[in-house]
Amino acid sequence: MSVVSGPPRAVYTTAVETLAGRVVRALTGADDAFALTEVVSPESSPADHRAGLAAVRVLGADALAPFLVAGHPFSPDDAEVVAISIRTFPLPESAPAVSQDQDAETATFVRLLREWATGEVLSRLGAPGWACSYPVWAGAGARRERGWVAWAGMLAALSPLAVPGLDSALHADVRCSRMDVARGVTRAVLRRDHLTAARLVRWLAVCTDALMDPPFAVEPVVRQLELVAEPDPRLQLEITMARYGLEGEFDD
Amino acid sequence: MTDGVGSWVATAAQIAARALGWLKQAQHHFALPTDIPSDQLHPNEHIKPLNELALLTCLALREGSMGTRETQIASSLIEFAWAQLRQGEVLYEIQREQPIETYPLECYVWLARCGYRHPRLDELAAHLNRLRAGRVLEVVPNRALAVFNTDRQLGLPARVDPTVLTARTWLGGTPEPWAVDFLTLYGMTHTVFHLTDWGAYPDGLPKHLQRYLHAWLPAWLEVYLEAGDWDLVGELLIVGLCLREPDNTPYAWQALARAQLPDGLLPAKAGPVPTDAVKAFRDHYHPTVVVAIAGILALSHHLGAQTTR
Repeated sequence: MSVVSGPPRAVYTTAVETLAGRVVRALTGADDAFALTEVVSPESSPADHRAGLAAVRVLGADALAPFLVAGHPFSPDDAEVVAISIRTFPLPESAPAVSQDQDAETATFVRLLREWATGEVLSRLGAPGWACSYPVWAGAGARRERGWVAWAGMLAALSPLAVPGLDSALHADVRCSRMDVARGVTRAVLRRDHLTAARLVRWLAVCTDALMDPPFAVEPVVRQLELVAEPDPRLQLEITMARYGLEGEFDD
Repeated sequence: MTDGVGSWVATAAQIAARALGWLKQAQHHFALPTDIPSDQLHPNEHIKPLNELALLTCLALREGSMGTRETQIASSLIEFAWAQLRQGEVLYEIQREQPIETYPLECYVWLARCGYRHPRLDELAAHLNRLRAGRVLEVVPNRALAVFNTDRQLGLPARVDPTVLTARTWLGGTPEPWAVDFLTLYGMTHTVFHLTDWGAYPDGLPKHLQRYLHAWLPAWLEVYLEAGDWDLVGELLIVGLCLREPDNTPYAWQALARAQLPDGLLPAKAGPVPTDAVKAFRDHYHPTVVVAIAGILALSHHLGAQTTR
């Protein structure tokens, strides 16, 4: 990763964008090889290395998508990068599962489920010791009480879970409530919030079920986003994953 | 109205009552200029406000759901509109000079339904309805549906096939709900208004379009609530109330209640309202009419007071 200087937030943002861009290139075949050790190198400056580890945590399971869905070989060194990132940026120990603050409760929900997804993907890639049980209190219907707008917002934050192969109570909820997700996509596109739209459309792409009535075609939204969305690497990653979830392959 | 549903219906009724109050005190702004011949009056500047006033008051009287004060206001406003139109003579003179224009009868229909008739205009309408010229309307489909509803309410033969027209509207195409804009949604609302005659015939809207609207109205409502486009929010609420089984949208009514000024005016958009009364009327009478209609329909749905239709 190139040396970046500037305020910490800018350094971390750049690190996340760089990693996201590399993931996209790996997923789309623009790069033949992908290794976390090349993106997050211990030989870089301590500040850059730390920012790179933070980027791995920010992208969560999506940082592993090239290994999981695109066939790039996952090495022990890659596993070590993820392990160091988790140790460097652990979840808050006192995160409450139930709180008086709905937003705080949702934030905890999101953190724990993203952690679960990372562990699941690591397990599937053959890295032992990271699987964690799915939170008991995150069962069917969890976090639905605040309506579809809030639920869709939470789903957007959980987009790394929307990959082929992962399944959970939340995935089952999405399969049963695709209309609410489609409403979220509609709202996001109309607000020109392409990032949220792409994150939500990932869910629709992987959580398919019986046809919706009225129907909601997912592919045209993905294509729309591909054509009009800003060239932001994180956004491109979400769109790429949506396309992957939809087709499992890419148009050249 | 102590239950959850009743509380938002009470809010809706209060919004409508306030809006009617503002319209009553602003009625002089609806007056037609006295120095312009009828056929030179501007359709949008002069006739449209009176048309919308007649529509609102006709619906208020049709639904019969409002209180005594509001019903009296509605009665006085429709009397005022009829007087401004010189008991229909103004509309007759326009229609006489402009036989293919549709707006004179689109205005007249609301008054006629409340018993205000102009016999020569009725005869002219029946005559024009039979002309070949009346069957080749070069207007967009949702506008042609307004003609369909006007003919239907005046008891005239349908000049256009509503099924064919509906299929040609934006709504009839059941498009991707995210591929839409403000003006298209505005047109969509009018497709629903005309097909259902403003909620009187919910089944005038095909079932698959009812399902389409149940699915996507909530998303559009959220977007335009957030944008503070109170005019379109009001129109979308009316659409919801025109469905066979309207959805409850208490959050939208609460937002409109917050947006409505103490005197009853509802701004078209979030933002300052001109202090000049003429400008305030010009910019904001329309959303105030819209929200009054929405509130009236909400209340009548709740009360089941539709037997007078």
